[in-house]
Amino acid sequence: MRFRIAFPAVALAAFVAGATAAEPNPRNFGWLPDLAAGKAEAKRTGKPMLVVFRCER
Amino acid sequence: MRIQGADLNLFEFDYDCTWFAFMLNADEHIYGRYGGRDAKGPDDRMSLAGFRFSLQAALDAHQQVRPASKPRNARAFRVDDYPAAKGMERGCIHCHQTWEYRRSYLKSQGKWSKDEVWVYPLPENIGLTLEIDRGNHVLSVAKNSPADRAGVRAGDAVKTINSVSIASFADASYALHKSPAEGAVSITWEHDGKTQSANLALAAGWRRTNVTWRPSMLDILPSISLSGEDLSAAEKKSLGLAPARLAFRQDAKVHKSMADAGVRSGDVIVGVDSQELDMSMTEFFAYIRRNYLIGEKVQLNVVRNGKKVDLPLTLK
Repeated sequence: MRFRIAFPAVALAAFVAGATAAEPNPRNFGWLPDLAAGKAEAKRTGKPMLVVFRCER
Repeated sequence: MRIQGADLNLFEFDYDCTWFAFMLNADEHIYGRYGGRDAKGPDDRMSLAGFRFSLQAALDAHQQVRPASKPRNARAFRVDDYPAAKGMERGCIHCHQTWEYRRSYLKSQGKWSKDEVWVYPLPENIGLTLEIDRGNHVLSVAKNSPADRAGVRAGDAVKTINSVSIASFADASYALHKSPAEGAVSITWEHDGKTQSANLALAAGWRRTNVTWRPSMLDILPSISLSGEDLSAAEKKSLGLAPARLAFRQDAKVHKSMADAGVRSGDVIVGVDSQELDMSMTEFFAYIRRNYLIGEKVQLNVVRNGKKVDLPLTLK
């Protein structure tokens, strides 16, 4: 299992898109694969993070 | 990054799940969680609307907590720190293996008990059924449950359980997971615009749920190798049993493990450990998996030639 990090405004867009698109590319929605990078981005922007754990195929 | 790198002291969740989300700030203050499941199915407790509701609650909390937020100061603990995970660093550790490694560690320390099986209790265990799309709104309250006795009613909004803010099923089950096996847990909720609070009494056994869906427990849940047909109501009556009472006749072919325990063809199985069980044979098999572990010793209650016989059996 891996986790992905996004920021809520972006994450909402990703999941709304997920309802209609077959398999959205996470990178198109600003997901980060690294927690440290996510925390740095959250600190820089003042936004909260969304961290997702999921099974990878 | 794999689960191997995640700090389990921060990212505590039900590791048997295949999807789970956290909302937190840069200082690792967690606003909320989303995910979780029950035995009915992997998506039974989630919806896009519910996720949006949980995200909005996190955004609202972020606006309130940000100025006072302080960095978390806890030592990291990673799944790799469990001895049983050694040597797995190069492979992909599945989340459910976290439970398995933890169980292995606790057993090695003599600290494991059956209570460890009942992780992440459902809100229903305290009498609450929460809405899926608005995760802190009470859909219904079971009569005479702890929540009912405290005065929580359908339509109320739960604010906190065990001091954890509630906006989702995942928040609620986490709050209950951190609650004692017996004792009390605090709850606050909103009723007609007014905040209410109470302590819910937690009786022994309140944490029990159906764990048969959990991949981490496949190797500790027993199967009982009996086979046969449920008795008719008339046959049950002739044995003095109510129509709903468990009673099935063992087939001609008896599995070796059962034969070794003394089961014979034609035996009528009526229960285990002298419990009065109203269920079918199939439900009995599930009952054994839900309530016992491999290695536990039970008495299989049998009627043979009209006489009651108790057969000692070690579950496998």
